[in-house]
Amino acid sequence: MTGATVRLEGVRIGLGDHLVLSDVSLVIPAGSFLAIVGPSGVGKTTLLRALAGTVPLREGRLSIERPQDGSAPQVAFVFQEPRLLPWLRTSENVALVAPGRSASERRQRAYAALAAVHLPERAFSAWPRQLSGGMAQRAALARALVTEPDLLLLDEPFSAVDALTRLRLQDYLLELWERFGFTAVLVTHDVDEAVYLADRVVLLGGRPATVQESFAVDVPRPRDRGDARLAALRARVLGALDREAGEPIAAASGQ
Amino acid sequence: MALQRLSASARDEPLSRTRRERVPTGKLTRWVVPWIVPALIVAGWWGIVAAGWIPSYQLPPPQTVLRTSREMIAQGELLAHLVATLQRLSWGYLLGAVPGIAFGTLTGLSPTLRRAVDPTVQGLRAIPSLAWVPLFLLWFGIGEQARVLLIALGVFLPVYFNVLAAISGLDWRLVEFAQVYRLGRWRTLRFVLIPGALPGVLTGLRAGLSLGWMFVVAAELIAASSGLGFLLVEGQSTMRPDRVLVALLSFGVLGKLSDSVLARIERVVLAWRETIGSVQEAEATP
Repeated sequence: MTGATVRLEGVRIGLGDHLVLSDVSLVIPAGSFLAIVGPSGVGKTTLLRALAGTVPLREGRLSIERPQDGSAPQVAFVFQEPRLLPWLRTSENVALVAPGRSASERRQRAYAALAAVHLPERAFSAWPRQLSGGMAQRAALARALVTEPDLLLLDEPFSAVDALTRLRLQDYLLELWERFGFTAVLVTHDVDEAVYLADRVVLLGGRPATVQESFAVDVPRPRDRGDARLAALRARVLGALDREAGEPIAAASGQ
Repeated sequence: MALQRLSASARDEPLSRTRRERVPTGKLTRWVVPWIVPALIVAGWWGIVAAGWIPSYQLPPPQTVLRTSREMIAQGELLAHLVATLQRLSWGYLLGAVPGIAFGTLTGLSPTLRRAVDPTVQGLRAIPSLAWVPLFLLWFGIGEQARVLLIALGVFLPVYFNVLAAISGLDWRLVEFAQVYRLGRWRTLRFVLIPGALPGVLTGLRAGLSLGWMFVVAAELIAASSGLGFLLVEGQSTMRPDRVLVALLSFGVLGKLSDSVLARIERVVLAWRETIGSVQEAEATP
Protein backbone atom coordinates (compact mmCIF):
# COMPACT_ATOMS: atom_id res chain seq x y z
CA MET A 1 0.00 0.00 0.00
CA THR A 2 1.68 3.18 -1.09
CA GLY A 3 -1.23 5.21 -2.28
CA ALA A 4 -2.67 5.91 -5.67
CA THR A 5 -2.43 9.09 -7.71
CA VAL A 6 -5.85 10.38 -8.71
CA ARG A 7 -6.33 12.64 -11.71
CA LEU A 8 -9.60 14.21 -12.73
CA GLU A 9 -9.72 16.25 -15.94
CA GLY A 10 -12.80 18.13 -17.01
CA VAL A 11 -15.07 15.67 -15.29
CA ARG A 12 -18.78 16.14 -15.82
CA ILE A 13 -21.33 14.00 -14.02
CA GLY A 14 -25.09 13.97 -14.30
CA LEU A 15 -27.86 12.16 -12.54
CA GLY A 16 -30.84 11.77 -14.84
CA ASP A 17 -31.11 15.00 -16.84
CA HIS A 18 -29.68 17.00 -14.00
CA LEU A 19 -26.04 18.00 -14.31
CA VAL A 20 -24.42 17.72 -10.89
CA LEU A 21 -20.72 18.31 -11.53
CA SER A 22 -19.12 20.10 -14.40
CA ASP A 23 -15.53 20.71 -15.36
CA VAL A 24 -13.99 19.24 -12.23
CA SER A 25 -10.22 19.02 -12.53
CA LEU A 26 -8.09 17.84 -9.66
CA VAL A 27 -4.83 16.06 -9.06
CA ILE A 28 -4.53 14.18 -5.81
CA PRO A 29 -0.90 13.11 -5.28
CA ALA A 30 -0.15 9.61 -4.05
CA GLY A 31 -0.32 9.30 -0.30
CA SER A 32 -1.82 12.74 0.25
CA PHE A 33 -4.90 13.64 2.22
CA LEU A 34 -7.58 15.70 0.48
CA ALA A 35 -10.68 17.11 2.13
CA ILE A 36 -13.69 18.21 0.11
CA VAL A 37 -16.08 20.74 1.59
CA GLY A 38 -19.07 22.51 0.14
CA PRO A 39 -22.70 23.39 0.76
CA SER A 40 -25.16 20.57 1.35
CA GLY A 41 -26.38 18.83 -1.77
CA VAL A 42 -23.67 20.33 -3.95
CA GLY A 43 -22.41 16.99 -5.23
CA LYS A 44 -19.61 16.03 -2.87
CA THR A 45 -20.89 12.52 -2.37
CA THR A 46 -21.50 12.14 -6.10
CA LEU A 47 -17.87 13.01 -6.75
CA LEU A 48 -16.80 10.41 -4.19
CA ARG A 49 -19.04 7.81 -5.83
CA ALA A 50 -17.47 8.61 -9.17
CA LEU A 51 -14.06 7.93 -7.63
CA ALA A 52 -15.42 4.63 -6.32
CA GLY A 53 -16.63 3.80 -9.81
CA THR A 54 -20.33 3.51 -9.00
CA VAL A 55 -21.35 6.66 -10.87
CA PRO A 56 -20.38 6.99 -14.54
CA LEU A 57 -18.79 10.10 -16.01
CA ARG A 58 -20.62 12.08 -18.67
CA GLU A 59 -17.41 13.61 -19.90
CA GLY A 60 -13.80 14.02 -18.93
CA ARG A 61 -11.16 11.66 -17.66
CA LEU A 62 -10.60 9.98 -14.35
CA SER A 63 -7.50 7.96 -13.62
CA ILE A 64 -6.46 6.25 -10.43
CA GLU A 65 -2.93 4.90 -10.68
CA ARG A 66 -0.56 3.12 -8.45
CA PRO A 67 2.84 4.72 -8.94
CA GLN A 68 4.94 1.55 -8.64
CA ASP A 69 3.16 -0.56 -11.24
CA GLY A 70 0.21 -0.39 -13.56
CA SER A 71 -1.92 -2.88 -11.66
CA ALA A 72 -5.48 -2.05 -10.71
CA PRO A 73 -5.64 0.12 -7.61
CA GLN A 74 -7.64 -0.99 -4.60
CA VAL A 75 -10.32 1.51 -3.62
CA ALA A 76 -12.16 1.36 -0.29
CA PHE A 77 -15.05 3.39 1.00
CA VAL A 78 -16.19 4.43 4.45
CA PHE A 79 -19.79 5.56 4.46
CA GLN A 80 -21.56 8.03 6.66
CA GLU A 81 -23.10 5.11 8.54
CA PRO A 82 -21.09 1.98 9.38
CA ARG A 83 -23.09 -0.14 6.91
CA LEU A 84 -21.96 -3.35 8.51
CA LEU A 85 -24.04 -6.36 7.53
CA PRO A 86 -26.19 -6.90 10.62
CA TRP A 87 -26.30 -10.69 10.14
CA LEU A 88 -22.53 -11.14 10.25
CA ARG A 89 -20.48 -10.75 13.38
CA THR A 90 -18.08 -7.81 13.46
CA SER A 91 -15.00 -9.82 12.53
CA GLU A 92 -16.94 -11.69 9.81
CA ASN A 93 -17.94 -8.35 8.31
CA VAL A 94 -14.29 -7.45 7.99
CA ALA A 95 -13.20 -10.93 6.87
CA LEU A 96 -15.82 -10.85 4.10
CA VAL A 97 -13.84 -8.28 2.13
CA ALA A 98 -10.37 -9.30 3.30
CA PRO A 99 -7.93 -10.59 0.70
CA GLY A 100 -6.46 -14.02 1.27
CA ARG A 101 -6.76 -17.52 -0.08
CA SER A 102 -8.05 -19.37 2.95
CA ALA A 103 -10.78 -18.50 5.40
CA SER A 104 -8.35 -18.59 8.29
CA GLU A 105 -6.00 -16.20 6.53
CA ARG A 106 -8.87 -13.77 5.92
CA ARG A 107 -9.89 -14.08 9.55
CA GLN A 108 -6.35 -13.32 10.69
CA ARG A 109 -6.27 -10.22 8.54
CA ALA A 110 -9.66 -9.16 9.88
CA TYR A 111 -8.41 -9.46 13.46
CA ALA A 112 -5.32 -7.45 12.60
CA ALA A 113 -7.38 -4.71 10.97
CA LEU A 114 -9.77 -4.56 13.93
CA ALA A 115 -6.83 -4.33 16.28
CA ALA A 116 -5.37 -1.53 14.16
CA VAL A 117 -8.46 0.61 14.79
CA HIS A 118 -8.18 -0.16 18.53
CA LEU A 119 -11.43 -2.04 18.73
CA PRO A 120 -11.53 -3.97 22.02
CA GLU A 121 -11.10 -7.64 21.36
CA ARG A 122 -14.37 -8.59 23.01
CA ALA A 123 -16.23 -6.65 20.33
CA PHE A 124 -14.80 -8.82 17.52
CA SER A 125 -17.42 -11.52 17.92
CA ALA A 126 -20.30 -9.15 18.73
CA TRP A 127 -23.15 -8.50 16.33
CA PRO A 128 -22.96 -5.03 14.76
CA ARG A 129 -26.18 -4.05 16.53
CA GLN A 130 -24.41 -4.45 19.83
CA LEU A 131 -21.69 -1.92 19.02
CA SER A 132 -21.86 1.73 19.93
CA GLY A 133 -21.83 4.21 17.05
CA GLY A 134 -18.14 4.97 17.44
CA MET A 135 -17.17 1.30 17.66
CA ALA A 136 -19.25 0.39 14.64
CA GLN A 137 -17.65 3.18 12.62
CA ARG A 138 -14.22 1.93 13.68
CA ALA A 139 -15.18 -1.55 12.52
CA ALA A 140 -16.22 0.01 9.21
CA LEU A 141 -12.82 1.69 9.04
CA ALA A 142 -11.20 -1.68 9.70
CA ARG A 143 -13.26 -3.21 6.90
CA ALA A 144 -11.94 -0.53 4.53
CA LEU A 145 -8.36 -1.02 5.74
CA VAL A 146 -8.35 -4.79 5.43
CA THR A 147 -8.69 -4.47 1.65
CA GLU A 148 -5.28 -2.76 1.69
CA PRO A 149 -6.58 0.26 -0.17
CA ASP A 150 -4.46 2.51 -2.34
CA LEU A 151 -7.25 5.05 -2.19
CA LEU A 152 -9.55 5.46 0.78
CA LEU A 153 -12.76 7.42 0.24
CA LEU A 154 -14.59 8.73 3.29
CA ASP A 155 -18.06 10.21 3.10
CA GLU A 156 -18.67 12.25 6.25
CA PRO A 157 -17.58 9.22 8.24
CA PHE A 158 -17.65 10.85 11.66
CA SER A 159 -20.74 13.02 11.40
CA ALA A 160 -23.03 10.65 13.26
CA VAL A 161 -20.97 10.20 16.43
CA ASP A 162 -20.65 12.44 19.47
CA ALA A 163 -18.05 15.20 19.59
CA LEU A 164 -15.48 13.43 21.73
CA THR A 165 -15.67 10.19 19.77
CA ARG A 166 -15.31 12.21 16.59
CA LEU A 167 -12.01 13.72 17.73
CA ARG A 168 -10.74 10.30 18.71
CA LEU A 169 -11.76 8.76 15.40
CA GLN A 170 -10.02 11.58 13.53
CA ASP A 171 -6.81 10.74 15.33
CA TYR A 172 -7.21 7.04 14.58
CA LEU A 173 -7.69 7.87 10.94
CA LEU A 174 -4.56 10.03 10.88
CA GLU A 175 -2.58 7.29 12.59
CA LEU A 176 -3.72 4.74 10.02
CA TRP A 177 -3.07 7.08 7.11
CA GLU A 178 0.47 7.75 8.33
CA ARG A 179 1.07 4.07 8.96
CA PHE A 180 -0.34 2.63 5.73
CA GLY A 181 0.29 5.48 3.32
CA PHE A 182 -2.92 5.30 1.29
CA THR A 183 -4.31 8.33 -0.51
CA ALA A 184 -7.29 9.68 1.42
CA VAL A 185 -10.23 11.69 0.12
CA LEU A 186 -12.56 12.92 2.82
CA VAL A 187 -15.91 14.59 2.27
CA THR A 188 -16.96 16.54 5.33
CA HIS A 189 -19.17 19.32 6.63
CA ASP A 190 -16.82 19.92 9.49
CA VAL A 191 -14.27 22.57 8.52
CA ASP A 192 -12.25 21.95 11.69
CA GLU A 193 -11.97 18.32 10.71
CA ALA A 194 -10.98 19.24 7.15
CA VAL A 195 -8.14 21.56 8.11
CA TYR A 196 -6.90 19.36 10.94
CA LEU A 197 -6.66 16.22 8.82
CA ALA A 198 -5.96 17.26 5.25
CA ASP A 199 -3.00 18.42 3.20
CA ARG A 200 -5.37 20.30 1.01
CA VAL A 201 -8.98 21.41 1.29
CA VAL A 202 -11.02 22.02 -1.85
CA LEU A 203 -14.32 23.81 -1.93
CA LEU A 204 -16.99 22.57 -4.31
CA GLY A 205 -19.65 25.06 -5.26
CA GLY A 206 -21.94 26.38 -7.95
CA ARG A 207 -24.60 24.67 -10.02
CA PRO A 208 -23.46 22.46 -11.62
CA ALA A 209 -20.68 22.27 -9.07
CA THR A 210 -16.99 22.65 -9.71
CA VAL A 211 -13.87 23.31 -7.67
CA GLN A 212 -14.23 26.90 -6.51
CA GLU A 213 -11.24 27.25 -4.30
CA SER A 214 -8.34 25.18 -3.07
CA PHE A 215 -6.56 25.71 0.24
CA ALA A 216 -3.17 24.19 1.02
CA VAL A 217 -2.79 23.31 4.69
CA ASP A 218 0.87 24.12 5.22
CA VAL A 219 1.02 23.10 8.83
CA PRO A 220 3.56 20.41 9.74
CA ARG A 221 2.44 17.19 11.41
CA PRO A 222 1.82 16.18 14.10
CA ARG A 223 -0.59 19.06 14.33
CA ASP A 224 -2.09 20.65 17.33
CA ARG A 225 -5.81 21.29 17.20
CA GLY A 226 -5.27 24.65 18.85
CA ASP A 227 -2.68 25.78 16.29
CA ALA A 228 -3.27 29.41 15.29
CA ARG A 229 -2.47 28.64 11.63
CA LEU A 230 -5.24 26.04 11.54
CA ALA A 231 -7.63 28.52 13.10
CA ALA A 232 -6.73 31.16 10.52
CA LEU A 233 -7.19 28.70 7.68
CA ARG A 234 -10.47 27.52 9.15
CA ALA A 235 -11.73 31.12 9.10
CA ARG A 236 -10.74 31.46 5.44
CA VAL A 237 -12.46 28.21 4.44
CA LEU A 238 -15.57 29.12 6.41
CA GLY A 239 -15.64 32.52 4.74
CA ALA A 240 -15.43 30.96 1.30
CA LEU A 241 -18.07 28.38 2.23
CA ASP A 242 -20.30 31.17 3.45
CA ARG A 243 -19.98 33.10 0.19
CA GLU A 244 -20.75 29.88 -1.66
CA ALA A 245 -23.82 29.06 0.40
CA GLY A 246 -25.05 32.56 -0.40
CA GLU A 247 -26.46 33.43 2.98
CA PRO A 248 -24.80 35.06 5.96
CA ILE A 249 -23.70 32.69 8.70
CA ALA A 250 -25.47 34.72 11.38
CA ALA A 251 -28.81 34.01 9.74
CA ALA A 252 -28.02 30.33 9.34
CA SER A 253 -26.95 29.86 12.94
CA GLY A 254 -29.85 31.96 14.21
CA GLN A 255 -32.26 29.26 13.11
CA MET B 1 -27.71 4.89 38.70
CA ALA B 2 -29.51 2.17 36.83
CA LEU B 3 -27.58 3.04 33.73
CA GLN B 4 -24.25 2.79 35.51
CA ARG B 5 -25.12 -0.55 36.94
CA LEU B 6 -26.14 -1.79 33.52
CA SER B 7 -22.86 -0.83 31.91
CA ALA B 8 -20.88 -2.23 34.81
CA SER B 9 -22.54 -5.61 34.50
CA ALA B 10 -22.10 -5.55 30.75
CA ARG B 11 -18.40 -5.09 31.28
CA ASP B 12 -18.11 -8.03 33.60
CA GLU B 13 -20.15 -10.49 31.59
CA PRO B 14 -18.78 -12.29 28.57
CA LEU B 15 -20.02 -10.42 25.55
CA SER B 16 -22.08 -11.16 22.49
CA ARG B 17 -24.26 -13.66 24.31
CA THR B 18 -27.92 -13.14 24.00
CA ARG B 19 -29.04 -12.01 27.36
CA ARG B 20 -32.67 -12.72 28.00
CA GLU B 21 -34.79 -11.08 30.58
CA ARG B 22 -34.49 -13.00 33.81
CA VAL B 23 -37.82 -13.65 35.47
CA PRO B 24 -37.08 -13.76 39.17
CA THR B 25 -39.25 -16.78 39.89
CA GLY B 26 -38.52 -20.42 40.60
CA LYS B 27 -38.42 -23.04 37.91
CA LEU B 28 -41.54 -24.69 39.25
CA THR B 29 -43.64 -21.54 39.08
CA ARG B 30 -42.46 -20.92 35.56
CA TRP B 31 -43.67 -24.33 34.42
CA VAL B 32 -46.88 -24.29 36.40
CA VAL B 33 -48.20 -20.81 35.60
CA PRO B 34 -49.05 -21.39 31.90
CA TRP B 35 -51.15 -24.43 32.85
CA ILE B 36 -53.41 -22.65 35.32
CA VAL B 37 -55.81 -21.22 32.73
CA PRO B 38 -56.23 -24.47 30.75
CA ALA B 39 -56.80 -26.35 34.01
CA LEU B 40 -59.47 -23.84 35.02
CA ILE B 41 -61.15 -24.20 31.63
CA VAL B 42 -61.26 -27.97 31.85
CA ALA B 43 -62.54 -27.79 35.42
CA GLY B 44 -65.24 -25.29 34.43
CA TRP B 45 -66.16 -27.41 31.43
CA TRP B 46 -66.51 -30.48 33.65
CA GLY B 47 -68.51 -28.53 36.22
CA ILE B 48 -70.95 -27.12 33.68
CA VAL B 49 -71.66 -30.53 32.18
CA ALA B 50 -71.82 -32.25 35.59
CA ALA B 51 -74.28 -29.64 36.86
CA GLY B 52 -76.46 -30.39 33.85
CA TRP B 53 -76.42 -26.80 32.50
CA ILE B 54 -75.54 -28.09 29.06
CA PRO B 55 -76.82 -31.54 28.01
CA SER B 56 -73.99 -33.98 27.42
CA TYR B 57 -75.12 -34.75 23.87
CA GLN B 58 -74.18 -31.17 23.07
CA LEU B 59 -71.08 -30.86 25.21
CA PRO B 60 -69.69 -34.16 26.46
CA PRO B 61 -67.60 -33.98 29.65
CA PRO B 62 -63.80 -33.98 29.38
CA GLN B 63 -63.47 -37.62 30.36
CA THR B 64 -65.71 -38.67 27.46
CA VAL B 65 -63.59 -36.71 25.01
CA LEU B 66 -60.51 -38.30 26.50
CA ARG B 67 -62.03 -41.78 26.19
CA THR B 68 -63.12 -41.15 22.61
CA SER B 69 -59.67 -39.94 21.66
CA ARG B 70 -58.12 -42.99 23.29
CA GLU B 71 -60.42 -45.26 21.32
CA MET B 72 -59.73 -43.43 18.10
CA ILE B 73 -56.01 -43.70 18.68
CA ALA B 74 -56.25 -47.39 19.56
CA GLN B 75 -58.20 -48.16 16.37
CA GLY B 76 -55.71 -46.17 14.30
CA GLU B 77 -58.58 -44.02 13.13
CA LEU B 78 -57.17 -40.75 14.41
CA LEU B 79 -53.77 -41.47 12.91
CA ALA B 80 -55.30 -42.19 9.50
CA HIS B 81 -57.14 -38.86 9.50
CA LEU B 82 -54.08 -37.06 10.78
CA VAL B 83 -51.93 -38.52 8.02
CA ALA B 84 -54.50 -37.63 5.36
CA THR B 85 -54.66 -34.03 6.56
CA LEU B 86 -50.91 -33.65 6.95
CA GLN B 87 -50.28 -35.12 3.52
CA ARG B 88 -52.66 -32.66 1.88
CA LEU B 89 -51.22 -29.79 3.82
CA SER B 90 -47.64 -30.73 2.96
CA TRP B 91 -48.33 -30.95 -0.76
CA GLY B 92 -50.40 -27.79 -0.73
CA TYR B 93 -47.77 -25.97 1.30
CA LEU B 94 -45.01 -27.06 -1.05
CA LEU B 95 -47.00 -26.14 -4.15
CA GLY B 96 -47.90 -22.77 -2.66
CA ALA B 97 -44.72 -21.75 -0.89
CA VAL B 98 -42.20 -22.59 -3.63
CA PRO B 99 -43.94 -20.57 -6.37
CA GLY B 100 -44.66 -17.88 -3.78
CA ILE B 101 -40.96 -17.49 -3.05
CA ALA B 102 -40.04 -17.70 -6.75
CA PHE B 103 -42.59 -15.16 -8.01
CA GLY B 104 -42.10 -12.91 -5.01
CA THR B 105 -38.36 -12.83 -5.70
CA LEU B 106 -38.77 -12.18 -9.41
CA THR B 107 -41.25 -9.35 -8.98
CA GLY B 108 -39.21 -8.01 -6.09
CA LEU B 109 -36.07 -7.86 -8.20
CA SER B 110 -37.58 -6.45 -11.37
CA PRO B 111 -39.42 -3.13 -11.09
CA THR B 112 -40.84 -3.60 -14.58
CA LEU B 113 -42.29 -6.97 -13.72
CA ARG B 114 -43.63 -5.53 -10.50
CA ARG B 115 -45.45 -2.76 -12.32
CA ALA B 116 -46.88 -5.32 -14.73
CA VAL B 117 -47.95 -8.01 -12.29
CA ASP B 118 -48.37 -6.56 -8.87
CA PRO B 119 -51.56 -4.45 -9.33
CA THR B 120 -53.33 -7.54 -10.61
CA VAL B 121 -52.21 -9.67 -7.71
CA GLN B 122 -53.09 -6.91 -5.27
CA GLY B 123 -56.53 -6.79 -6.85
CA LEU B 124 -56.92 -10.55 -6.49
CA ARG B 125 -55.93 -10.21 -2.88
CA ALA B 126 -59.08 -8.20 -2.24
CA ILE B 127 -61.09 -11.37 -2.89
CA PRO B 128 -61.26 -13.40 0.34
CA SER B 129 -59.39 -16.52 -0.65
CA LEU B 130 -62.11 -18.89 0.54
CA ALA B 131 -64.38 -17.38 -2.09
CA TRP B 132 -62.36 -19.28 -4.68
CA VAL B 133 -63.60 -22.61 -3.38
CA PRO B 134 -66.65 -23.04 -5.69
CA LEU B 135 -64.62 -22.14 -8.76
CA PHE B 136 -61.92 -24.59 -7.79
CA LEU B 137 -64.47 -27.32 -7.32
CA LEU B 138 -65.90 -26.57 -10.75
CA TRP B 139 -62.49 -26.62 -12.38
CA PHE B 140 -60.81 -29.47 -10.62
CA GLY B 141 -63.72 -31.55 -9.39
CA ILE B 142 -63.96 -32.69 -5.83
CA GLY B 143 -60.90 -34.90 -5.94
CA GLU B 144 -57.65 -34.74 -4.07
CA GLN B 145 -56.19 -32.48 -6.76
CA ALA B 146 -58.75 -29.75 -6.06
CA ARG B 147 -58.09 -29.92 -2.34
CA VAL B 148 -54.31 -29.67 -2.71
CA LEU B 149 -54.57 -26.81 -5.20
CA LEU B 150 -56.93 -24.94 -2.93
CA ILE B 151 -54.46 -25.20 -0.06
CA ALA B 152 -51.66 -24.16 -2.40
CA LEU B 153 -53.59 -21.01 -3.34
CA GLY B 154 -54.12 -20.14 0.31
CA VAL B 155 -50.41 -20.61 1.03
CA PHE B 156 -49.17 -18.85 -2.12
CA LEU B 157 -50.66 -15.42 -1.47
CA PRO B 158 -49.14 -14.56 1.94
CA VAL B 159 -45.79 -16.08 0.94
CA TYR B 160 -45.75 -14.10 -2.31
CA PHE B 161 -46.63 -10.80 -0.65
CA ASN B 162 -44.14 -11.16 2.15
CA VAL B 163 -41.29 -12.24 -0.13
CA LEU B 164 -42.05 -9.39 -2.53
CA ALA B 165 -42.01 -6.89 0.34
CA ALA B 166 -38.81 -8.40 1.73
CA ILE B 167 -36.95 -8.24 -1.59
CA SER B 168 -38.10 -4.80 -2.65
CA GLY B 169 -37.51 -3.50 0.86
CA LEU B 170 -33.86 -4.59 0.92
CA ASP B 171 -31.54 -1.93 2.26
CA TRP B 172 -30.04 -0.36 -0.88
CA ARG B 173 -27.20 1.05 1.19
CA LEU B 174 -25.97 -2.47 1.86
CA VAL B 175 -26.29 -3.25 -1.83
CA GLU B 176 -24.19 -0.17 -2.55
CA PHE B 177 -21.63 -1.44 -0.08
CA ALA B 178 -21.51 -4.71 -2.01
CA GLN B 179 -20.96 -2.78 -5.24
CA VAL B 180 -18.26 -0.51 -3.90
CA TYR B 181 -16.37 -3.42 -2.35
CA ARG B 182 -16.83 -5.50 -5.50
CA LEU B 183 -18.33 -8.49 -3.77
CA GLY B 184 -19.50 -9.91 -7.07
CA ARG B 185 -22.79 -11.57 -7.90
CA TRP B 186 -22.50 -14.70 -5.86
CA ARG B 187 -21.23 -13.17 -2.65
CA THR B 188 -23.73 -10.29 -2.92
CA LEU B 189 -26.49 -12.87 -3.19
CA ARG B 190 -25.10 -15.06 -0.43
CA PHE B 191 -24.15 -12.39 2.10
CA VAL B 192 -26.35 -9.39 1.31
CA LEU B 193 -29.53 -10.24 -0.58
CA ILE B 194 -30.53 -13.59 0.92
CA PRO B 195 -29.85 -12.75 4.57
CA GLY B 196 -31.51 -9.37 4.08
CA ALA B 197 -34.67 -10.91 2.67
CA LEU B 198 -34.76 -13.86 5.07
CA PRO B 199 -36.77 -12.25 7.88
CA GLY B 200 -39.56 -11.32 5.48
CA VAL B 201 -39.45 -14.71 3.78
CA LEU B 202 -39.78 -16.50 7.11
CA THR B 203 -42.66 -14.25 8.12
CA GLY B 204 -44.32 -15.17 4.84
CA LEU B 205 -43.73 -18.87 5.41
CA ARG B 206 -45.33 -18.67 8.83
CA ALA B 207 -48.30 -16.70 7.58
CA GLY B 208 -48.60 -19.20 4.70
CA LEU B 209 -48.63 -22.08 7.13
CA SER B 210 -51.47 -20.64 9.18
CA LEU B 211 -53.44 -19.97 6.00
CA GLY B 212 -52.61 -23.50 4.90
CA TRP B 213 -54.27 -24.88 8.02
CA MET B 214 -57.32 -22.76 7.35
CA PHE B 215 -57.57 -24.06 3.81
CA VAL B 216 -57.10 -27.68 4.82
CA VAL B 217 -60.17 -27.33 6.98
CA ALA B 218 -62.10 -25.60 4.22
CA ALA B 219 -61.15 -28.24 1.67
CA GLU B 220 -61.98 -31.11 3.97
CA LEU B 221 -65.24 -29.60 5.17
CA ILE B 222 -66.52 -29.36 1.65
CA ALA B 223 -65.43 -32.52 0.00
CA ALA B 224 -63.42 -35.25 1.61
CA SER B 225 -63.80 -38.69 3.05
CA SER B 226 -60.77 -38.52 5.26
CA GLY B 227 -58.87 -36.01 7.31
CA LEU B 228 -59.51 -34.03 10.46
CA GLY B 229 -61.86 -31.67 8.62
CA PHE B 230 -63.90 -34.63 7.47
CA LEU B 231 -63.97 -35.79 11.09
CA LEU B 232 -65.55 -32.44 12.02
CA VAL B 233 -68.34 -32.77 9.46
CA GLU B 234 -68.91 -36.41 10.22
CA GLY B 235 -69.05 -35.76 13.95
CA GLN B 236 -71.61 -33.03 13.37
CA SER B 237 -73.86 -35.15 11.14
CA THR B 238 -73.71 -38.18 13.44
CA MET B 239 -74.29 -36.08 16.56
CA ARG B 240 -70.90 -36.92 18.07
CA PRO B 241 -69.59 -33.70 19.64
CA ASP B 242 -66.85 -35.72 21.35
CA ARG B 243 -65.40 -36.65 17.96
CA VAL B 244 -65.68 -33.02 16.83
CA LEU B 245 -63.78 -31.94 19.91
CA VAL B 246 -61.08 -34.54 19.33
CA ALA B 247 -60.63 -33.18 15.80
CA LEU B 248 -60.53 -29.59 17.08
CA LEU B 249 -57.90 -30.42 19.68
CA SER B 250 -55.83 -32.26 17.08
CA PHE B 251 -55.90 -29.19 14.86
CA GLY B 252 -54.82 -27.10 17.80
CA VAL B 253 -51.92 -29.35 18.70
CA LEU B 254 -50.71 -29.81 15.11
CA GLY B 255 -51.04 -26.13 14.27
CA LYS B 256 -49.07 -25.13 17.33
CA LEU B 257 -46.42 -27.78 16.71
CA SER B 258 -45.87 -26.84 13.08
CA ASP B 259 -45.69 -23.15 13.94
CA SER B 260 -43.17 -23.74 16.70
CA VAL B 261 -40.98 -25.66 14.27
CA LEU B 262 -40.90 -22.59 12.00
CA ALA B 263 -40.47 -20.29 14.97
CA ARG B 264 -37.48 -22.33 16.10
CA ILE B 265 -35.93 -22.16 12.64
CA GLU B 266 -36.53 -18.42 12.65
CA ARG B 267 -34.81 -18.02 16.01
CA VAL B 268 -31.75 -19.94 14.87
CA VAL B 269 -31.46 -18.29 11.46
CA LEU B 270 -32.16 -14.79 12.70
CA ALA B 271 -30.05 -14.94 15.84
CA TRP B 272 -28.54 -11.58 14.93
CA ARG B 273 -31.89 -9.88 15.46
CA GLU B 274 -32.45 -11.35 18.88
CA THR B 275 -29.53 -9.73 20.63
CA ILE B 276 -30.33 -7.12 23.21
CA GLY B 277 -27.07 -6.70 25.10
CA SER B 278 -24.60 -4.15 23.84
CA VAL B 279 -20.86 -4.02 23.91
CA GLN B 280 -19.74 -1.20 26.13
CA GLU B 281 -16.79 0.96 25.28
CA ALA B 282 -13.82 0.09 27.42
CA GLU B 283 -12.04 2.75 29.46
CA ALA B 284 -10.93 5.63 27.25
CA THR B 285 -8.59 4.18 24.65
CA PRO B 286 -5.76 6.43 23.47
